[in-house]
Amino acid sequence: MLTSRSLTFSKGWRPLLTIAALLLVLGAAVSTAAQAPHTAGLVVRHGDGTIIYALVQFEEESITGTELLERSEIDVVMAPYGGMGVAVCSLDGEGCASDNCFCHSYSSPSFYWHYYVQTGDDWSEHPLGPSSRHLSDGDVDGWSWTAGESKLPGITIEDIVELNAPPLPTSEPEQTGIPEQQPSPTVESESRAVVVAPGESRTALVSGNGDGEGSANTYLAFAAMAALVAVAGGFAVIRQRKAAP
Amino acid sequence: MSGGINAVAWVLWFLAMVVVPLTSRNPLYLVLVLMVAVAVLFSLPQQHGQTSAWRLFAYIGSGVATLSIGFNVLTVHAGNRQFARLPDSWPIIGGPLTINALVYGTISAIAIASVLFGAATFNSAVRHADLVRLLPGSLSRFGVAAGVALLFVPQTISASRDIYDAQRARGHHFRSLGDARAFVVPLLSTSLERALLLSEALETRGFGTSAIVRQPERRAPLASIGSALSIVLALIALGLGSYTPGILLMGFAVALALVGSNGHVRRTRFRPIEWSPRSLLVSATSAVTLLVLLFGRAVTDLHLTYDTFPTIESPQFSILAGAAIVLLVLPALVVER
Repeated sequence: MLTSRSLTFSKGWRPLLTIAALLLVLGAAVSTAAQAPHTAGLVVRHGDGTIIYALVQFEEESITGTELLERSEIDVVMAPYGGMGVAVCSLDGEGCASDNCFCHSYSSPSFYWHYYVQTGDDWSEHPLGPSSRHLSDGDVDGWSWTAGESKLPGITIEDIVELNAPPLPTSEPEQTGIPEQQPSPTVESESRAVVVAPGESRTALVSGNGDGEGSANTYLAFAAMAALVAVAGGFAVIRQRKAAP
Repeated sequence: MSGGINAVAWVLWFLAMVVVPLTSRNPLYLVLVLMVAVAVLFSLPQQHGQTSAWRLFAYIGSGVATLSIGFNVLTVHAGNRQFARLPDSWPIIGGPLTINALVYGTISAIAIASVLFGAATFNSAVRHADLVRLLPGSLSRFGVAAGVALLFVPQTISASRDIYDAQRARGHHFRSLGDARAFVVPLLSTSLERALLLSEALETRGFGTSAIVRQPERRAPLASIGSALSIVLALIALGLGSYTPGILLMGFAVALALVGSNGHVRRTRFRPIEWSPRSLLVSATSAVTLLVLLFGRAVTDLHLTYDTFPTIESPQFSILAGAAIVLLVLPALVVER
């Protein structure tokens, strides 16, 4: 009896159970998707040219620029900045104390931490502080200790992910071209960072080509163009002097 | 038309030439621009002593520009490469002296010199009357005033040279500062005489008086408001680092301002602008250079930015930008002898 009742029960509820099972699977899938971490990039350029490429994973839809800095595990000193939120005084040990946040900006050239956001392939300076900026999945922020141009490298979130990927096991680690790779010691999957020393090209690290600063080929091109102008100018002057009465 | 190239082509050439010194401190580009400006200046035919006067102006200006090197070294104490140190107690100049400041000062001097040589070339090649003709009617008075101001320096240099030669021919020797009186007094009187002649000539031609004036059109206030709004938006865009939209908006503002102001004064033109193959060639190449330098960065990195603070790095060089600058040497090759 029990068996037949069970069969009867199961027959009547089969469509509902099927729908419920489907909903459960769908719900689990949605839940898994919701828990899939988002990623945001952070590029910090020191005054000596050292660049830190940090990758932060987060579960929320978006985080603020301040949260990105804090979660990146980079040492940061901030100070309240009136209605504009907070100002960054020091990053990774470079900068000023919070009681005199812009201590190097009162002389010429004026240095402080400039805040940039990535727009397409370019960087544009953010007019507000990091607390007013909301980063979604794939966004990249940049900070540069500079008195003029940002000098931040053109980079995408994919490049930062690639830079922060665990090094492949190889018998010749120097062939990777990465001079100094320092995964953050206290984080496992939430944030990672790579430090690139001055003189090393980020492009060379990612793609392995030689599009670095002032390569020999580009200087040869410059020399050729300068010679061309000199020859053209010399030719024109000689022609002008011949034509002069 | 000077050297077979019309004023429009020369204006385009000059605009393309000054883009790099005004927007970049990359020494490689600046050296190229300076070389181009010098080559074109020395390829121009000598006309009425104006060319040599402008050359002298460029030499003097460039000499003064080199002062910026010393000024920069003594007043900017930033950078990672220190080569000397002055006592900190000395005001302004006290502190470390750095190679960074030395290099930046040198780059600035090259930029100033390239602008001066470019201006000297432009002023030697173009008659100011042709430039005034290019201006819209409402700006013609401004153009005349600017032309008179621009001519002051070369005319003074030319007059100085004439007076010096005349006094030497009379047997005068300039040995001390007191002897300069024989030079300064005639120079002042000549300048005053020239100013009087100029003012009489302008008065005779009705300069500053009301010519044929039409009622302001209805579009004028709208254009002015639009122009003002465009300037505000352009400044915001430039402030946010969006240079291309900022420059475009600034150009739009100028165009609107011209539209708003044009039509108040009607002028007639008896001599239309001649478009010889030389003019077309120079205009086309200059326009290409302008487009590449202003908008090329949207396609590829032109490496226009360069800074020596806080560290000195090797400047980068884009073949595209370099080739665009080299195109500007074309007037030296096609100018009419």
